[in-house]
Amino acid sequence: MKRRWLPVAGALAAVITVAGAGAAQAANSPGSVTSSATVGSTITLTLSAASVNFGTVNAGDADDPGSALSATVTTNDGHGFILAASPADMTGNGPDVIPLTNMSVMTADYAPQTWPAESTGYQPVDAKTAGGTYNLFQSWQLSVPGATPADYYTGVISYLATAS
Amino acid sequence: MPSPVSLTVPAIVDVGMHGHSRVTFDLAVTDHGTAPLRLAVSTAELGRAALAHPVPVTWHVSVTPAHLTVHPGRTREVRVTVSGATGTGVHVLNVVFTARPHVRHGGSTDDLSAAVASKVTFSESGRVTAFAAAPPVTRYYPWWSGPVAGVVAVAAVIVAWRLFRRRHPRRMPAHRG
Repeated sequence: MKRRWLPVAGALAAVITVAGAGAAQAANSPGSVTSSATVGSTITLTLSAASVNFGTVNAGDADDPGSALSATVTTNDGHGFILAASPADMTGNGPDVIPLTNMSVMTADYAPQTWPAESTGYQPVDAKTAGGTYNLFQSWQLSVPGATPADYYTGVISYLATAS
Repeated sequence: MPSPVSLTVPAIVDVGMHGHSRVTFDLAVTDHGTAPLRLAVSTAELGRAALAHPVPVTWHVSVTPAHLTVHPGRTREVRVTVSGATGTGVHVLNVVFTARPHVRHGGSTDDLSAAVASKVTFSESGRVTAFAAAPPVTRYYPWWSGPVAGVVAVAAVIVAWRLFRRRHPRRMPAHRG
């Protein structure tokens, strides 16, 4: 009678042992998993001022300097970026304009840049081939045609930063 | 000195078409400046990649909203929807966020307009993510976790049971009758 329980007890013990061994193995063996994450690339353009001011200029002046401007570009994209600019004609209250061809910009890395007449597109003014933060000084100059009437003239200079 | 104009957008976005003719994705734009930015959002082909691999003219690309205002420190999203996409290959498009100046200044000034463009690449599979190879796994089995331990445990239980029964014999039930 008592021997009848021996196989049952043995089997039960074996099951408990094997289950315990499996649990211990799962808890204690030094395994590893693969971790992954995607860091999105971003690009930031920061202008140090809201405008470039040429101050009071005289008709016939050549290369009047504008106020200081820095364009700071920050990107974590390893291919870098292109910074481009596009000025527009400066208009006053009357019909006369100071054409965009009279404006130029000079940067530390690029030769003085001018734009063709009636230009509506961007032209590169600086570029980098690696990610990081770059403070790019922009030196704008304005030449005033000799017959320009006295007036307040304003225009828009557009800056564009994009990944290379 | 904090700048009034500073905006951040995704630099590069890879979109997988996976055989679909329509795909939608969102782009976030953040105003890191000190003034609210009135943004106009448009698409263009800027740079060599977009000019060399433009989106086919049969594709319809729309951006919603096309005009929005983002306040300092805030982020908003625009939704780009591409429909009518057919064929395979890689195509590149720029989504341009242009901040218009709020005020005009008198006296021979040029107001500045800042624009930042996201470079969006469309391909069949999208970005191929390279996973780092996992280090080789070294399994550790303690002696008591193997089959030998199971046999030892069973034997121990049997011996214990027999010893217990030897010390505490069961009484046979009395026969009635």
